[in-house]
Amino acid sequence: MFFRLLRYAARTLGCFVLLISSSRAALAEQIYQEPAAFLEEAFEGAVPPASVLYLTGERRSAASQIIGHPPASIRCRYWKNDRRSVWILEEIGKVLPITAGFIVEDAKIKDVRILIYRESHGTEVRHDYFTEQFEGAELTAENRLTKTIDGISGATLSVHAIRKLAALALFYDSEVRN
Amino acid sequence: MSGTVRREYLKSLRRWHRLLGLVLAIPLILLACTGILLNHSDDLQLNQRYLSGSLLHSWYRISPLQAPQSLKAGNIWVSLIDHTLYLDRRRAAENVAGINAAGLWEDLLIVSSPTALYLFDESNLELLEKIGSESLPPGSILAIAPQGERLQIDLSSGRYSADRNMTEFQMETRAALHVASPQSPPQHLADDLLADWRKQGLSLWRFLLDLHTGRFFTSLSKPLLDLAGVLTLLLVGSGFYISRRLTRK
Repeated sequence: MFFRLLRYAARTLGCFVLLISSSRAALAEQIYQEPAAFLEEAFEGAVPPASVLYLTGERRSAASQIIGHPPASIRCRYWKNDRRSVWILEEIGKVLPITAGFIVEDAKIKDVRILIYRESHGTEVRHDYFTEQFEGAELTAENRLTKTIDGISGATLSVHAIRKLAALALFYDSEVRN
Repeated sequence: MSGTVRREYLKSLRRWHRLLGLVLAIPLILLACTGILLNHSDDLQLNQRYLSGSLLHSWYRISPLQAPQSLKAGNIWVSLIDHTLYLDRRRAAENVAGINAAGLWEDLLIVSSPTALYLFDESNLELLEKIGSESLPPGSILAIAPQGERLQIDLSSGRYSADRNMTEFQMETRAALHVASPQSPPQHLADDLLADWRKQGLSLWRFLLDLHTGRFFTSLSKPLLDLAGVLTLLLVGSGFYISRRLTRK
């Protein structure tokens, strides 16, 4: 009986090992859209000159609270016309940065685009079914998004990163409008 | 099967069951502890916690793909180890594609990679801004040179100059800039940079995962852990059988 069990277990394990060994290799950097192309699309070809927002003082403190750490740099570049502002921001997902573009119009998120994804897992965040959730989102007085964004199983950290960046883009937009 | 044979069989099975339990105790405890921690890896930020220790690093053979490469900007060494940028001994930026030029421009230290410009405050080496390709004229960056009020930039698409904010670029008809060649830094600097670089080479998450999957110990540990898995199934199976027999009694 014992050895029958042993033989059965060995066969089952063999099948399991075969199954898991056929998994795909990890992904390298994925450029879904060049940042320059995103800007062209966001401004329908008429990209305004870049402006610079200084992240110092209270603004830096507020930004730190939104993303959970001080911003990586003192200045942030943005593009703005009468209707909208566009931000290209980066945040670490699990280990590597995700580059995302945000279009803000009338203090609301108009569009979110994952431009460059560098992690080996969690690429689901680039899909429309995830990014569309951000459309129309605004910022509360506590600098949180007004919309609930559903997570994606297996992409938790990437989802967190994009949520934080969306709130940050709205905050920066409010700063340049004021 | 007669009653005596059955009793003997059950006795033998219980001995095997005990033996399996003893043999599997340590691997199961290891699996349980590492598994619980890995289950909460996001909350515990295991990927942002790093293990130091030369023994561990030697065991993992953590070393960069390339030796450190450096440029000098004034008195400041600008070095790159794989994709980590150092200014003197200070870790300055991550995910840097390469370094091909560095220069001082009034109170700024500017470092260029083929795909971005990095602006640092010269006094405290703090990163002011990373200027990506979307903010620059098209093409990869070849060389930079501060010249008075403007920064001269050579890209693969042409020669330009930029204002101080790098928001306005104009084409130039001057000669091409000298292209710098990164070289090895002084040995004492290289040793210090490598020591710092290695500190973030092994995350706690990676270490726990390797313990959990058996990859940490030797190349044999993986099949041994597979065997432990099989024995665990037998432990469960034999335990279930024994408890059924005892219940029937």
